[in-house]
Amino acid sequence: MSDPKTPFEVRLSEVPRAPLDPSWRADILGAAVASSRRQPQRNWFGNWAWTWTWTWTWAWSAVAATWVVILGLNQAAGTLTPSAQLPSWGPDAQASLAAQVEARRRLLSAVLEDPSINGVAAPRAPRPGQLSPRGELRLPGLGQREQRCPRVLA
Amino acid sequence: MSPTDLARLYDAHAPSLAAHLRGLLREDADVRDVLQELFQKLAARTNPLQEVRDERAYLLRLAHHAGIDYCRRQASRERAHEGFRQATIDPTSNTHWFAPTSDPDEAEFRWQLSEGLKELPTDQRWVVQLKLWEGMTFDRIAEVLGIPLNAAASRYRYGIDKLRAQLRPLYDEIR
Repeated sequence: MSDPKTPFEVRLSEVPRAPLDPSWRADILGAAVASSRRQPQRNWFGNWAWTWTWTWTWAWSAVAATWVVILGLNQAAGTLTPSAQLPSWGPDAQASLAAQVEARRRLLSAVLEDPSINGVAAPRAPRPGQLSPRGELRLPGLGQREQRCPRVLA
Repeated sequence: MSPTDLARLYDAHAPSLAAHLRGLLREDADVRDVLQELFQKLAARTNPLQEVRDERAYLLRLAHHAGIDYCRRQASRERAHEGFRQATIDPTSNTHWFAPTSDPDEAEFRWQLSEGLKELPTDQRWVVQLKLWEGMTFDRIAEVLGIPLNAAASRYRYGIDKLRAQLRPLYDEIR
């Protein structure tokens, strides 16, 4: 957006501005150098740490932002998982958990012992001469083998 | 920052910085104080201009903010001691804005130009100075002053119209 200057504007811009007082240069530069020398000098580790910290501020900002995003996602995911809904692990929580486990154990044993609950009868013991659950036919002639390998057939 | 770099910055930019500060501050002594503060800050930094595209615009922006801070400090100090006075320049100040000349007509024109600039509102004066004597575009002026582009253009237009109205007779006479 550079409009062409009018002759009046050109005339004004050609007026030279007042030069600086030459004595200012030595005063200002002297004061600046003196104040910089009064700054605490850092050792090599300080310089290194300063460079790493302040030269790549954008990189450190990116790392920090990434961590914020990760923590945010982690927090959001944690509220959705059931494990996050468990009570804290104090004495009350232990008692509550033990009571729940006991109640489930009782329910499970009641289900297994009462066939009327699930309609499945308990397995009957095989009668002599019938096939065992593993399909073995127990014949009288096999008694010797039973005696030879009592541990295997026991 | 090394003394050599500081000296280079001073030689290259101090006249422009001082001219900009003259548009803001009352006295040359104030301009000098602000310039000294600015160069002390630059000296304290390790590499202040490492990623700067335009040194002049960057330093002008620093000087602009330093000058405004200085004005605020001065104003609050004066409020505390002797009641509020305008901390920025006033038409009676003895700041010399333009180089002296032996030509009486030209000297009169420069004096009238200084007076015209002093009577402009501060925000118009800054824009006119940056546009005419720094040769900046409105984009860059807006960046330095932290104002919208359209505001920079309109302030310049108002400022230059006022100067034209004030200097027209003299300008026509010596042209």
